[in-house]
Amino acid sequence: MRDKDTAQRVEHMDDSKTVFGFWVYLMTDCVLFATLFATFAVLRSNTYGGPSGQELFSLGFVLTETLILLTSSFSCGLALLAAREGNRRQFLSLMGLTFLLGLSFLFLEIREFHTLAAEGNSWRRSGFLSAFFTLVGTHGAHISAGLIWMGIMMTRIYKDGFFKTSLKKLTMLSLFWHFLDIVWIFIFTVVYLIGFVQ
Amino acid sequence: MSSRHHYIVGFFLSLMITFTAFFLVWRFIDSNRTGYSTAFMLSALTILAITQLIVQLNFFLHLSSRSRPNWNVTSMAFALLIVLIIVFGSLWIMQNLKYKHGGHDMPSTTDAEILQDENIYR
Repeated sequence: MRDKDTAQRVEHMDDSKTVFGFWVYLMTDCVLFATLFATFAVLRSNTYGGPSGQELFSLGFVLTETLILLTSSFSCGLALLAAREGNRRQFLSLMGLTFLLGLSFLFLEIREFHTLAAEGNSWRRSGFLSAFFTLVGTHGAHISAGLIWMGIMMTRIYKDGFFKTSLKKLTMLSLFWHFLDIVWIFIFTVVYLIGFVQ
Repeated sequence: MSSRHHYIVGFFLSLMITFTAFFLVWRFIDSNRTGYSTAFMLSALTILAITQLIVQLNFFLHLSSRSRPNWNVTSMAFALLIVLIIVFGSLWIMQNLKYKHGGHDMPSTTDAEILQDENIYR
């Protein structure tokens, strides 16, 4: 007969295989983003007579987006800790905060895309803009997926409390969310910051 | 709670690195691009980005060589290898294509420019 400790350990071991599998998926996602970065690097000066990054981007705006996403990654980590401790209220508050920050980030990004497109600087304008929209847009699509996932987890845990596989799933969700912040580090550096320097 | 402490330190370090990067670029723009050289800016921004990557991997993703063998780190090292091949391979190939007449708005290149660029000395 298993006591509670052994049962928890066994579950944690089973968890670790699934979580590792998810980690391997993240590695492939990493390669995906690398191809989009490579494409952007090749096409960054192909502005086809149109505007370059310098003319389009705002440093303050990107800093705001970056701080929002970084804070959401932080609150996500704390949310996972709360879940590990079985603290449902704290988990929901922190995950809720993560969600709101992520949503704000997405809102700002969509607004930037809209402004660019409305001015005629859509992905059709030049190779540079095609690469920009694809890279940043793919990141935004991942953020959207993460937000949906968060919504699902929070809804279920709000209604029924933690369940057997909560922790495993929340671990994978927070890996996903941290990964997206890491990709963003390179987006804001390579696309925006270096865009101002070149 | 040492776990919370871990996240707080990671968050704080990431903030510092982020502000440093943005501050450098802000100063660069402010000085009308005369303050630092482009090469310095590129190296600094790259180093800052990689540092923040390591900070976040360590503090947020708990990626350290604590358990051996650490398959997380191993698979990440492999992915990194693929990434390096793809990124630098693409840049190298596309740079090389500049000298062939592949594109319409490619500037024409003289032999002398190619020799100098590719470091070929006769």
